[in-house]
Amino acid sequence: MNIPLFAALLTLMAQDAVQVESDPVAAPVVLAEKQKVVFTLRVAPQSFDPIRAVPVIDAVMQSQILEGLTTYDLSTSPPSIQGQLATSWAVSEDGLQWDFELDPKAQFFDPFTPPLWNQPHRLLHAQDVLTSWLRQADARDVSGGYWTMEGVFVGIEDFRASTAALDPEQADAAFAKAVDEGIAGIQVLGPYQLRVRLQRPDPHLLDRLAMPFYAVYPAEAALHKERNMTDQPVGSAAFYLADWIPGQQVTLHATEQWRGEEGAENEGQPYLQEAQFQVVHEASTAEQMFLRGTTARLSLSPQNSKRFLDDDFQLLEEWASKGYRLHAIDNLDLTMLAFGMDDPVIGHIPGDDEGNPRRRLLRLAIANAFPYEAWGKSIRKDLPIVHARNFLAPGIRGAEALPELPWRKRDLNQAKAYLAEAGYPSGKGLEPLEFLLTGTDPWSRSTGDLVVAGLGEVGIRVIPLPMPFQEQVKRAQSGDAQLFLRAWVPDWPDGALILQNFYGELVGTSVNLGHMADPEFDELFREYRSLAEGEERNKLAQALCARLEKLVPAVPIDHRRSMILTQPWLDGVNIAVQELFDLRSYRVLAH
Amino acid sequence: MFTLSLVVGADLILFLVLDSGVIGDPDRLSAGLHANQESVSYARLRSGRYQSYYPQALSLRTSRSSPPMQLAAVDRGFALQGIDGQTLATIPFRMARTLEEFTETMTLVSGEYFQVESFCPEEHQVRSVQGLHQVLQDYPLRLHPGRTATVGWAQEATLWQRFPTGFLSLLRFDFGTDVDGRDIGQRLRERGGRSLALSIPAFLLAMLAALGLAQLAVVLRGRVDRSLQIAAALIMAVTSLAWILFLRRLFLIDLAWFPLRPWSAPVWPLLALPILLWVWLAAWPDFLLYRTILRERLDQGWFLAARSRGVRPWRLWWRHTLPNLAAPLASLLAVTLPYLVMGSLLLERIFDIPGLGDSLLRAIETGDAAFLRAATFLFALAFLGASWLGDFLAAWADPRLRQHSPQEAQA
Repeated sequence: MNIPLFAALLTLMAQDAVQVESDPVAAPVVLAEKQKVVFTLRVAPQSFDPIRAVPVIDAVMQSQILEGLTTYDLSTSPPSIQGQLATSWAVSEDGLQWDFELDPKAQFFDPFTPPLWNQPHRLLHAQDVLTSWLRQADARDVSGGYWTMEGVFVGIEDFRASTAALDPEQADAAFAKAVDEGIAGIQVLGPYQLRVRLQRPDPHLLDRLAMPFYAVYPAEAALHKERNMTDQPVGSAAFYLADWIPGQQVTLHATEQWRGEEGAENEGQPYLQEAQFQVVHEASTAEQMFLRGTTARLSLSPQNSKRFLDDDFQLLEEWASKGYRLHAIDNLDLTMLAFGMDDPVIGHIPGDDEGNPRRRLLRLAIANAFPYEAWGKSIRKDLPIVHARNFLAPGIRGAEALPELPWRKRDLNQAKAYLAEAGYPSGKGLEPLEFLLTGTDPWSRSTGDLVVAGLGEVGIRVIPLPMPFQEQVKRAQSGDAQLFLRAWVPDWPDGALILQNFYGELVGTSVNLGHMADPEFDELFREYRSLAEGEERNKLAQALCARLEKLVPAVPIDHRRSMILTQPWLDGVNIAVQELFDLRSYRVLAH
Repeated sequence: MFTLSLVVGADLILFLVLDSGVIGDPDRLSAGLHANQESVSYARLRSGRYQSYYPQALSLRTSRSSPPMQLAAVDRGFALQGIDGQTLATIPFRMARTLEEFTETMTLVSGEYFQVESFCPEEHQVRSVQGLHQVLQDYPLRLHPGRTATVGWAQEATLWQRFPTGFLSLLRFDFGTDVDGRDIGQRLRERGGRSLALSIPAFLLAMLAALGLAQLAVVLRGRVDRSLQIAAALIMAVTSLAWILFLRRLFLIDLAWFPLRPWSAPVWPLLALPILLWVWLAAWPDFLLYRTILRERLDQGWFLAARSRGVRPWRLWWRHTLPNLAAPLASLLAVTLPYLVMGSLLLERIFDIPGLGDSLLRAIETGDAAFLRAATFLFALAFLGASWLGDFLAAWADPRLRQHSPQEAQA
């Protein structure tokens, strides 16, 4: 999931952390009578509609109310995929056909009036899955998640084209037909059986189905628009939306008889009766609310990390002795300085055997001159990061086996040598390079200042151009970019989701913004993305990264870590990048 | 007619500003981060910018030996470009007016260096190439060697087709839905109520405080007047943001005089500090204004005569001075009232008050044209209403401002 660098930073600092907790304490756990918690958010959720689950925070909120076929088990390290609405599945030998069995106990709960049904609950059926997914692919809905379906399910493109008919009645008829009969790639076999057919094998289909875009809601809500899913989500999860002020506050209550079980403590029912999320823009206010015990978690930011952490990013004894707990998470993301590979000054032009080596040397000079240490100190400030060794973040399978890129450390002498070899001794003869910033805010401008100063030390002049994020994407997408920052967060720990940034078929989309198009890389990538995790795939990852090392389409900078503090009285906290708020395990201890 | 012209003018100006893309392309924003030619075109169709759109109007296939290329919209035609930006061929409008002619021309421009085959379904062949040009302006079509790429065709609705549709809806107070698909009318009502809960008490208290200070300064004069003027100058010299952050820190965090909790009933304890800050920031400039007006009034003969006749100070204030101030106060109210509806963006943001100011900020960030148009429409109406109210109150308070017939004036 690509998100604006600045927004991503705020968002990820505003939640998350990973630490699967064990419970070594033998003493009996005494729960508080009132199982209610308040959390603060810095980024406001805007919609509960899965077709708009693009911002991370919206996806996090939706996952409390809506469920998908699969989810992540946070009790394992790393988190593993497991069934949520699906109890089992079978895959054909060619990997193209998947048959899912749904949980017959899963049921929707509608808290709004008038209710969709005579009673507040209704059992969830495979038809609901089909309808929810079709709505995501409906051209009329301008969904944010269709890209996850395109090229995956058989017939999904035809269905989308049929709903694009100008005549509304024709479009309605096409949608109704698909709901009745299914499409070639998504078929209802029975009340609780669903068949999925793929255009090509997808070893990560279960991860894909855990994405918020595949959340399931009642067919009535999708078909008859009897529920505005933006504000009135009806789902099958352990919580329901009790109240919300859009963009400001969300109040969730535990769903009674979730999965049909009545009051069975510790058997799937959540401990929490109420969870409230409040947007607080000011970091100091959020900190005070936490210290006064009003809120349960505090995301550390550069403004307050020094108050709680020592130089090694460990919790200060002062706080640890009071029972506060620190959780740290590797975000699996990659921040990189990307090159516009279409650019005649800095890019890679197919067929230009004379110019390409010179341009590669220029990119190498930039890679060697980039101020990595200063980046950590002045841009990331007092929050921990993991310096990138290669293109894949630690935590992604195969990353450990990758060698460290030779140009990954700052070496000004080497940079000057490359620059001179490229025909620009001390930068002479090289026109200033344009650096497209990710925003117009102070943080974005400081990244510009850093790059200007860092590359200026070897004579490379850079002009930072502040612009809104969308404008940066638009320019890069159209090939009008030389240098730009890129932060990429994979939706699940899969190297292909990072490496697709360099896949030639995605040139012109907002994924491959650098416009790298290398047939050799593309061939390897196609093979890589279709392989299941294993030794063979790891070898391919090495080959792909070796190709990137040769072409230098981007300079990997770092992978971010987030730090979270939790109250001594909050127990059962499991946090992972895949599941930032797994409220089902949270419980409030007597205090 | 004057009212209608003003409201049309305000909406038209905003419409043109939004249409120019100065705050971003709303359709591109609504299509999300994974926007491509197709999704942006569908977004344009939904927003009314396109009258029609066909996603598969033309397919181009390049030979395996051709270099990677792209088909782009250029001035008065199309260009087939290498990925280094070099133009390999141009196809001006005069060479191809329909998609059928375009497919033939594409085949003709193929040479030894590159080969392009072009296909167009029969039902689209007679369509104008302008529709192709329209779509390619958003995204050039990337042509990979040996593969087929498809591009759509769109007909853009003219500006004069789009503007009246939206405006007539506004006149019916049908504001439609925002970028999240939420009812704008309901959103304005809910958020506007919270903004007014902040702004009206703050405005009234600030006015009373300023009047009180002005009276003190004018009545006591001398050292008190000078001290108040110096205080006003010093306080106004510090930026309002600094005051808000400092006083918020002091009262909310360090002294903990006000509650720190999520927005929930009762809301008055949560609104108390922002209201006091508003009063603190607004009272001083108002004080200087009222002081000047008061001094001007009090130097007039009627006031001196009243004092010399021994009229008691409170009676002098309530019976004579305040009515004399009513007209300028009414004019001030007329200017200020519309802004109260919009709340205080800064205070709402810093104190996390879910009001209209915060919504406006988000609407600008997300390029939510429908919400901005609705808010502007209401602002224009509020401005007019407040203007009339101000005129009415001023005329009621000061008979000299009432309109007279020519005969009366002559008499």
